[in-house]
Order: sequence, then C-alpha cells, then structure tokens
Amino acid sequence: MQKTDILTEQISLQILPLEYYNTSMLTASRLTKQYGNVISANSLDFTIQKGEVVGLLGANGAGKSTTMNMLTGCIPPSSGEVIVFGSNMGEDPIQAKRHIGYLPEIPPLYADMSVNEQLMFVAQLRSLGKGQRNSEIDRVCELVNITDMRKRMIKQLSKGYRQRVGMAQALIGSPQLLILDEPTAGLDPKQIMDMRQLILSLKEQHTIIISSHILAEISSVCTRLLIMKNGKLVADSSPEQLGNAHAGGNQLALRIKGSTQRVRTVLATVRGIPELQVEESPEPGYSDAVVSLEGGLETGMDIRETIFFALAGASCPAVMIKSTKPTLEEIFIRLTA
Amino acid sequence: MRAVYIKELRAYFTSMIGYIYLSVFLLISGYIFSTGNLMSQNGDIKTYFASIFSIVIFLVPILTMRLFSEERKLRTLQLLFSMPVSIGGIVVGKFLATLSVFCMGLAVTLLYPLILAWFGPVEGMVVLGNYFGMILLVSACIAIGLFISALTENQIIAAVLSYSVLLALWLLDSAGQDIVKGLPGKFVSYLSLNTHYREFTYGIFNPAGIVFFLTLTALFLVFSIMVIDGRKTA
Repeated sequence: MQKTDILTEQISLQILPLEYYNTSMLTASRLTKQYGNVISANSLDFTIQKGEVVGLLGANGAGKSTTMNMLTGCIPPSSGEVIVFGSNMGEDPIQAKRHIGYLPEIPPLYADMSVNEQLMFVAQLRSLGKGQRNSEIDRVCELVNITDMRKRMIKQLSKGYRQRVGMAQALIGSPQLLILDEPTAGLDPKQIMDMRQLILSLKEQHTIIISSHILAEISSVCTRLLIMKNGKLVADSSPEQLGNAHAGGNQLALRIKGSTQRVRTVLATVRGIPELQVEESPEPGYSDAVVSLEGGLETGMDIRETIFFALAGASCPAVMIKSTKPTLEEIFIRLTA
Repeated sequence: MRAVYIKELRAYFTSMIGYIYLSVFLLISGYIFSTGNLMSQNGDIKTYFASIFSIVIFLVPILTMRLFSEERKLRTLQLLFSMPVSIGGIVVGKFLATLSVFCMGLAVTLLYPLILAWFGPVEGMVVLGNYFGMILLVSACIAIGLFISALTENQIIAAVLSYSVLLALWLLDSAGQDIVKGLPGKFVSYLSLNTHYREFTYGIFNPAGIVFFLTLTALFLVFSIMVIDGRKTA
C-alpha cells in the first residue's frame, strides 16, 4: 500500500461519524417511571444492539407501554436515562428521536386527513426534503400495501388499514430503530399474518422492539426476549436460552415398540433418568414413555443415544424420540404469575 | 414548526371551522362598517375597530378551542411527541396558523380604509395603528386561548373558558376605575387589554402597549409549552 493510501485511509477513518462505530442501538439505564405510589417501570437496565429483534413481554399492566413511551420520548422517566444511537433522550431528544419510528398500541392518526396527507405530515415532521417526500411515501405505502388507499380519508379506514397506516408512518424516513407496541392487536388472522410477514421483512434493515400478547408471534420473529412483571425486568435472553434456563423439568417423549413392563425395565437401567413415566400408547403394540432428564440435553453426553442403544439392545425399537421443552406460554406464565 | 403550521392551517379549512369563522367575521365586519361608517357618513376607522373587538374576543375562542383539546382527545399528541420536533415548535406552529387565519379575515377589511379614502381624507397612522394594535391584541388572545385549550380535552369547555377569560381581561379596565380604587385600581386597569389597545386606535405607538401585548403572548405560549410538556402521559 502506498504511503498516500495509508494516509487517506487514516483520514477517512477519522472523519467517519462516531455513530459508525457504535453497535449499541439503545441503552436504558435504571429507567424508572412512578405515578404517585405506583411504579410502572422499576429501574430497567438493558442494551439493544444493532440488528436485534427484541420482544417485550408481560401481562397487562406490567409496564410495557410505559416503557415503550419512555424509550420513544413520549413520556419522561421519573429517573434514569435512555440513549439512542449515542444521543441522550433527556438532553437531545430531537436527535435521539430521529433514529426512532414508533407505532403505539392505538395508531395516532388524524381522522380528517387522507392517508397521503397524514404520511406527508409525518414526512415533513421528519424534515425530509421536498423531492424526497413523495418517493418515501410511495416506498412505505408499497411496503405495507396501502397504495390503493392513499386518497381515502383516515376516518373511512378499517382497523386493519389504520394499523397499516400507523406502521407506514413509523417507517417514514427509514429510522434505524422501530418500536412497535402490539402491532397485531385487533387484526384478523389474515392481517396478523401479513403484519408478521412485514415485520420479518423489516428485520434486515431495522432494529426492532416489539411488544405483543401473542407469544407464537414473538417466538417466530424475535431473537431476544425481555419479560416484565410489575414494572421489573424478570428475564432477558433469547427464546432458546429462556427455554433451556427454565427447563427445570426438561423431558423426552418416546414411543417404543414393546409392553409397558418391558420398556420400564429397560429404561430403568439407563443412568441419568431420575423420573420415568410409561403408559400404553394409543398405537397398538407400543408404549409411550416420558423421561425427565438431569440437567437438560445440553450438558454432557447426549442421553438420547444411550436410551436409543439401550432400547435397541433389548429389541424395543424407539420409533419416536422428541424433546418436550416447556413452551414459551408455560415459561411466560411461570415468570409473570 | 413549519410542518405543524401547514397541517393546522389545512385543518382549519378541512374541518370547516376556517370557513365558518371567516364568513361570520366578514359578515359582522361588513355590517358594522356599513352602519357605523357608510350609513352614518363617518370617515373615522376607529369606530369600526372599537366595535369589532367585542366580536373578535367572541370569535377567537372558536379558532383556538380545538388546537390542543382535539389532539389530546384523539391521542394524536403521541405522534407529535415521538417525532423529532420540539414542543415549542408545536405550540408556535399552532399559534402562527391561528394568527394567519385571523389575518386572512383582517386582510379583507383593508378595503374599508380604501373605501373611506374614496370619500375623504384618511389618517394613515390611525389606520396603521388600528391594524397593528388589532394584530398584537389578537396575538395575545390566541395565546390565551391556546393555553386554555391545552388544559382540557373538551373543546366546548375550552371555548367557554377562553371567552370568559378574554371578557374578564377586557372588563378589567372599568373594574379598575369603578370597583378597585387607588393604586390597586391602577394596577388592575393596567392589566386590561382595553387600556393598551385604546392608544393604538388613536395612532399612538406606545412602546409600553407593544411590550404588554408581546409579553402576554410570550407568557401564555410558554405556559402552553409547560402544560403540554407536563401533560405527557402514557
């Protein structure tokens, strides 16, 4: 490499904005919101990295919406701070909000405006250039599939379309962080599927925080879960880690050819099975067994192989071995009950 | 601020309030000018401006009542709060849009001094003073109405409260003279809108009057910002 090239590279590295090197998209530090004696959010601490899709879970009244409102600058925290892409929400809210697109639980829309006027207003609020506004509105309308509705008044739209317009306005200006509060609430199954597809397609370009009561939706979309209870964060991990961490009774379900007596005798010889249940299978000639494991599947040797060979050696072939980790619903109920 | 200004200006003419306000204002203005000046063969524009104010304090609350009440009721403030725009920008944008609608109506009344000039001499400074005074006065009225609109979700309550406060500020003048005597009376009179407005109608540009109206406007805009900032709710 030439000396001048090295020099140029050094200069170009120096002039890159600080944000370029910053991989943390959002940091909440000791974030607290108190209404009188009620603490809606209690000293929340978490950092969200660029590209993550984070699910915020919690029962009604757990503090999800309050947290989202604080993250977006809609309400000020009683104490603590929010840093969005290097900008402190309390000190420089305008800069911090430039990086955020927010879809509240009830999309804030002006009933007397057309879809186009509403989106144009948001484009102006986001200080998009005159030439850029129309192309940006075209882009988001196409993305959420409301191009045919652009001239319709908001008051004439169905709940599903209003939700889409809310989503479109959150996407205007392509903010890096999307915060979506119950984006599928009140939608019919087809609309829920469409919204889920849309969120999946947005994963590539945006960091997303999504709250939902539909746990299947969260588990299919999110790479990380934050679970809240009474304003506190009670879990913060990936759905898989959460499943393993709460797999206290991690189990295997087996269907084995042979009588219940024979199967029980064979499995009793396998080490590392503290608990065993065997019953007759609905399939004639087979038995169904549920085996509790010590420490789960990830620790030490895979016990499935041991069980398989023990059964095979006793001429009791296993036609099905299935891990039965607790579902997200079970973990959610366990954590928030 | 510009985005909020344009949106508010458009909202006046999509919700009919703008058309209704302008129609009523111009109808009553035309009636007062015709009877007070043309039919009475009176070339003094002061007559028109002295009468129109009582109409203006009744009409301004119609323009201001929905400014924040509606946003709070429809929960659209949440959109503004989540956008990269300051609360000061939102308040000033709404204020300027309302003042613009008022000025649209007032601009049409510029025909009146021209009509009077057709019949005889018109004092330029008196005309200018009346228009300048009216704009300053209405700015203060709009700022008060805007503040009251930020206090309630109910538009009717906002309108009635605004009208009551403006009427009280107008009547403080006579209260200062007739009810409260001495130094307190002078102080009460000083707070009256009428006291400061009257000088403008004579073509006198008293800096005290200008400062009074500008201070009142700025004060209530700041109060509005504080109320909206404090009313951020989940």
